[in-house]
Amino acid sequence: MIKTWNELPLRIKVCVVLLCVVLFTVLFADFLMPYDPDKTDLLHKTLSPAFMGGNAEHILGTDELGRDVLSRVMYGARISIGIALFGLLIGCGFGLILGLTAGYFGGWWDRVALMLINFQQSIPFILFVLVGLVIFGRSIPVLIVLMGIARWETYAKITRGLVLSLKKKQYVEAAKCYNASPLRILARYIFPGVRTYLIVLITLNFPLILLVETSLSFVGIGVQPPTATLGQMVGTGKNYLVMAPWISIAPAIMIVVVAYCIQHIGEHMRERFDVRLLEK
Amino acid sequence: MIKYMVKKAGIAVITLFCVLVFIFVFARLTGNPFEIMYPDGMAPGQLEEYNAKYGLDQSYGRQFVLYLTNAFHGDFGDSLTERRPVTDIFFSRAGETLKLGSWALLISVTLGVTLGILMALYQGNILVKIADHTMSVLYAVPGFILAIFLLLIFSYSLRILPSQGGGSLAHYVMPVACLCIGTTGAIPIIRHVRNSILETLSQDYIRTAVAKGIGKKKTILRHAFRNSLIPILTQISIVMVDILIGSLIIERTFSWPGIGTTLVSSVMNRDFTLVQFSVLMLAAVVILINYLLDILYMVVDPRIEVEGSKT
Repeated sequence: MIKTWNELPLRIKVCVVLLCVVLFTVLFADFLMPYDPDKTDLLHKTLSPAFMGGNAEHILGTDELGRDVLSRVMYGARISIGIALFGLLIGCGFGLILGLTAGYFGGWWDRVALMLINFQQSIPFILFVLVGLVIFGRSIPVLIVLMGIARWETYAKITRGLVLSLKKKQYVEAAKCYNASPLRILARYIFPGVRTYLIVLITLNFPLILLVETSLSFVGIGVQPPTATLGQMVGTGKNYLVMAPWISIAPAIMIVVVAYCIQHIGEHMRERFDVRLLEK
Repeated sequence: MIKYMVKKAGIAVITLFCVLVFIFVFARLTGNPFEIMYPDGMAPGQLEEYNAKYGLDQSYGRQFVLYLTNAFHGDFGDSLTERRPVTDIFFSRAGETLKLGSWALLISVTLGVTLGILMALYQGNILVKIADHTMSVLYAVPGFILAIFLLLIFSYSLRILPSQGGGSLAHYVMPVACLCIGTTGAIPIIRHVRNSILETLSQDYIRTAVAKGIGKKKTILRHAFRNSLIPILTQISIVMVDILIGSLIIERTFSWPGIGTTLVSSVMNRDFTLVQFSVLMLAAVVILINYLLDILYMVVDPRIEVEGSKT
C-alpha cells in the first residue's frame, strides 16, 4: 500500500489528498459546518470573506440572504457529489447487468442489448434528462435516476466486449464442466475480470456527471432552492457578481477542484492499468 | 456506396422514430400529463377539454396513431405557455443557436487542429509543456464556470463586453469563448489530434518517409495528419454534439435569444409540448451529424464500405 503510494506521481498524490479532504468535509459536514446552511440572516447579508476584508466569523462571507457561504459550499458539495455518486451506481449497475447477460447468453438478448447501446450512443442522454425533468418534476430522487441514464452504455459496451472474450477462457469452461450455474460463473469467474475496467470507467465518468448535474442546477432546472447545491449557488451568485463575487466563486472553485482531481486520478488509473479499451 | 448510404439512412430514421416512441411512452407512464403540469389543480372542465383536445380520452393505441399522424403532418401542438405552435417558436430561434454554434465550432476546429499539430511537432518544448498543464486544468472547467469568470473580468471589471443578449459582434465573444475553451470545444480536439499524430508517427511507413529524407514537418502534414483524419473526424463530430448541448447552458447564462434559453425556461415551466419538439429536433440534428460522419468516413477511407464498420 505504502509502496504504491510512493510510486504515484506528485500531481496524483495532490489530487488524492485534496479529494480526501473534500470527501471528509462532505461526510462530516454536519459537525464541521460553522452555521446552518439554510439559516438566513438579513442583518448580515453579503459580508465579505475574511481574506477580503471581512471578519473571521464568516470565513467565506455570506450570501444575498445572509447565509454562510462556507457552510453552504460544504452542504452543497454533499448534495452534488451524492447525486453524481448514486447516479453513477445506478448507471453502472444497469450497464453491468446488461453487458454481463448480453455477452454471456448471446442470441436475441445480445442483439437487443446492442440495439439499446447503439441507440443510447447516438442520442445525447441530456435530452432524455430534459424530457424526464418535465415529466417527473424536479426533485433529488428524480435527478439521481436521470443521472443514472448518463453513460450507462459505456459500462454495458465494455462489459459485453470483455465477457465475450472471457467466456472462452479455460477456467470458465472448467466451471461449466462441473455444472456451475450461469449466475455463479458470471459472479465468481467473469466479474473479477471486468472489475478493474469498471472502476476506471466509473472514475472517468464521475466528473462528467458532476458537471452535468451542476450545469442543470446552475440554470435552475436541477435541485430546487432552498436546498443548496454547488451549481445552483453559482447560478444565484451570478446575479450578485458585482457586489459579492464570492457567492458564486467559492462553489465554482469547489466544482473545478473535485472535477479536476477525479479526472486526473481516472486518467492516471487508465494509463496505469493500461486499459486501452476505454479510449473514446 | 449507395447501398451503404441507404442502410445508414435507414438506421438513422429508425433511431429518430425510437426517440418519438420513447417520448410518447414516457409521457404516458406518469398518468395524465396535464394533472402533473398543473399540480394546483385546474378550473372545472379544463382537464376534460385538454383531454379531448389532445386525444387523451382515447385508448393508448388510438393516441399513438394520432400522435404519429400529427407528427408526420408537422403538427406538434401549441406551446402550453406561449399559446403558439411549437414549430414556430422553435424555428424562429434556431437561427441564433446555429450562428453561435457555427462560430464556436469553426474556432474550436481551427484552434484544435493547429495547436494539436504544433504540440505534436514541438513535443518537449517548454511552451508546449505549459500549454499542456493549462489545458488539463481548463478541461475540468465547465462552460458555465468559465462564463462566471469571464463575466467578472470583461463585463464587470473592465466593462468592455456586454453581459447579456445577442446581436453585435461583441455579444459573441464570451459565449463563443465559453464553448471553445472548457470541457467542450478545442481542448478535446487538441488532445486527440496530438495523440493520434504521435501514434501515427511511430508507424513504420513514417519512419520510411523520414528515412527518405523529406523532413519531419512535411512528414507530419503529408503522411501522419492524413492518416489520423478518421479519429480526428470522430472527435470533431463529438465536439459538434457537445457544443450543441453545451450551448443550451451557455445561452441561458448570457440570455442569448436561441433555443437553449427557450428550452431551459420551458423545462422550468413544464411546457411539455415545447420540450418534446425541441428535444426531438435536437436529436434529429445529432442523428444527422452522425449520419454525415458515416458518409464522410467512407469518403476519407474507402475501405470502410467493404468492412461495413467504422474503426
